[in-house]
Amino acid sequence: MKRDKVKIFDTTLRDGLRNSGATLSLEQKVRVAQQLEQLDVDAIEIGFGGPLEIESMRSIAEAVTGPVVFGLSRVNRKDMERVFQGVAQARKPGINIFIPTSDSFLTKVRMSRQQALDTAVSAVGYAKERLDHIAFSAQDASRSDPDYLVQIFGEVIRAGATTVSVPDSTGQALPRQFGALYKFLRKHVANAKTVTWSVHCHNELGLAVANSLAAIENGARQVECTINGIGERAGNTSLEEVVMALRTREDAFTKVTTGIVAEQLYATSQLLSQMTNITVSINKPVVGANVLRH
Amino acid sequence: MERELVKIFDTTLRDGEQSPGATMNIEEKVMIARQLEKLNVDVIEAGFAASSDGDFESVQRVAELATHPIVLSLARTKEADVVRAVKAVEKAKHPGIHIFIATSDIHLKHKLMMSRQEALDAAVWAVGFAKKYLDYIEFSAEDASRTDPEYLVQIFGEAIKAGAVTVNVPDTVGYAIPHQYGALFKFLREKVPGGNKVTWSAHCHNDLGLAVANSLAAIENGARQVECTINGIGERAGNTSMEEVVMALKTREDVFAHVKTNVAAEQIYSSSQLLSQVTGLSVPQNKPIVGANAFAHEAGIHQDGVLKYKLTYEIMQPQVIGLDSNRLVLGKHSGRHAFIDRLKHLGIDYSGTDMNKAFERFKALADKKKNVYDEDLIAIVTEETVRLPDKYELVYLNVTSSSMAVPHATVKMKVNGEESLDSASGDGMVDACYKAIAKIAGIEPKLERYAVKSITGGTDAQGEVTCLIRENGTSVNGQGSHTDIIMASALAFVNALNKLAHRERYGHQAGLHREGP
Repeated sequence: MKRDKVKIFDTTLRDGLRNSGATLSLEQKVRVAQQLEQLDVDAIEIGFGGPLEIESMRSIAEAVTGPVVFGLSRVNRKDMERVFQGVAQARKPGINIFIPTSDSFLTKVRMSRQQALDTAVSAVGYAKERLDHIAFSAQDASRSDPDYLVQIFGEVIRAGATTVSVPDSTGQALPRQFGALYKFLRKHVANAKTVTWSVHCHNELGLAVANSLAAIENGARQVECTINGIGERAGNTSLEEVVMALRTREDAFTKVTTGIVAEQLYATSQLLSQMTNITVSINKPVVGANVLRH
Repeated sequence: MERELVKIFDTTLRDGEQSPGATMNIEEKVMIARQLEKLNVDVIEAGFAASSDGDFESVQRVAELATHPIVLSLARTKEADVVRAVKAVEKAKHPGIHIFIATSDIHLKHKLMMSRQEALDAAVWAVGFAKKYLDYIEFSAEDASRTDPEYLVQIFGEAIKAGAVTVNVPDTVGYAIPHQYGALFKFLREKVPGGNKVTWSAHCHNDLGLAVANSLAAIENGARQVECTINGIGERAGNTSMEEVVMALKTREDVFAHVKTNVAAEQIYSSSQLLSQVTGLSVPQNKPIVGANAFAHEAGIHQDGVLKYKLTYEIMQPQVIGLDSNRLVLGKHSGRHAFIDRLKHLGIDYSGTDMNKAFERFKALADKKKNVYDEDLIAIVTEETVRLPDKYELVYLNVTSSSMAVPHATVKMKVNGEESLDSASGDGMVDACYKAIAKIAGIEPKLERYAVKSITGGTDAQGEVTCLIRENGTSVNGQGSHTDIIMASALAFVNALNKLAHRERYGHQAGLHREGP
């Protein structure tokens, strides 16, 4: 049986660097992007559509040939225009549009569920006139009302989203429940089969990798992750851990595979560690010094 | 509904110590054991008594001091091992023994060169033999996650019949994935004769980053004990992190509605810091729960936006793990009372500490550094805890370096109380001072790793240096802290040399120490 591909969406340069204390020069970011290309990731998120990152996004986008290049954007037109400019030179440009969907986050941005829904649909429609690769992320999805998620994902798919992401933004999810959420959504969202389901986890409870694997078991076919699991607080899902878990236990994950060139994992881990000055802990799974002693 | 207890079995002192360089001396183990008692863990695995005289003695010491937790020693299925383990824990209020044998075909064939039947017989014999002396017997099937489940049913059933009260299903090589590991517990609890009258235990390793998830899956399927270590230390990628399991159960008690732990969560941060100080293994900055970044948006920031942000993102409160948002504590005007009060507040056990020396060090530090933080205090107390009489002691250090001259260090040290002076040049100041110290010590261990970090923020922060040195196949971590990083480097190197000297005195039986589930 042919295995489905689980796409690897690397967000080291966007979510990984956010509040990490590390600042990379433009040249360094380009170097990281080139290394990610050596790894053969499927997508790279290169920045956020705030006013400061257009130039940086442009330079990185130009340097990348294989992977789809995404910029993250809020639903406002200014952010979106900046992302369009930032990714314009990419071979395969894309935009990742997000809006909060949990009631606690909606309160923070003073929006009703209906407003968020309308805004998201309009933003996705606007982007679709300009780009093919449209990802939509429901921020704090793991704490959102699943029925509302069914509604908003269904509508953005109709408006043109090609990938839908279900983030565990606060790192509070548990594998079994998170897997069940994917199962529920893929069953109930209209036209769910026409898009790629993506997973985005944070490691507050040490469960980012396990949650990502549970999502894959329930139909997710893209994992958003970072090299060495860098990211604010306890970090994001570790790219190398997810990839090596799928590979080492291919007897259990019989339906899927990734396209990652595993021989490049160590070099990538070291490169990022040296550039960011964030050391890889000695007992980090897969790439830690103690693991490699054996 | 009454929540069932998930026992926390801490193996920091046994399996955790197998982390390269994490060797602890007896006094350090005693200090950790006291902290584990404060954390209110249910079981302490204090060591592997048969592996060395040093391990035997530390198990004995921990057994004597622990009041609430069960104290265990690990043992193979050999008579000598069981006898030694029983002897080591005999003074414990709640003594126990942990007997293990490998059960996977790959281990049986290549390591033990035994048939399944032979391993079964050995296990049953050992459990029965131990039962003559002790009631509390845990039995582990090493490499259980790669063992034929039918064979596990048989061996666990027989071990229970022979007297095991806890049975452990280790994922020794960190190979399991959550739903399969959970299903294995479900299967075993249904099929093993007598399975409903014993405690089922999970023991995981983190090679694929899944140790916590696997432990939680085991709990969902009836495990009522988790074997884990503080900070997740352990060989390779480490063991299950105690703090991650405890806080996952606590933070998501809405889902884990049937269970609870006895752990005093407010002792988690102190325990993590203490272990890091004692072993010299720093806590990764993005380690869940206890890493420096875990609650980073907390420290000293009070803008409205940040507070709102905090409330929306923060799924646990730092106070729960004993991390005060009010971190600034002491300065040069703080007296002895304030110093001791703060240690008490932090839950740091200082009963083995020379308080006069510790307070002197605190004053000396406060003179150099405006603000003395909790982390500084933990560093002081750990370093002043009575260690074994140190072979080497740094008396004096002078290092010169400039852009015009080769760095040069002059060092005076006491070696077994005798003063000795020497000097050396090097590629840099640290290199020069390590060479001078090595000359005096008369050995040249290989420096495998060297790292500096600041314990707190600010240019007057204490620098903390950790180094890993290797000599004759033995690796040890040294740790030193000082406001001057060259001094901290020298202290770390001397600390490592002392640990090496200690290891030579209490050498583990070759190879044996690394065994276990």
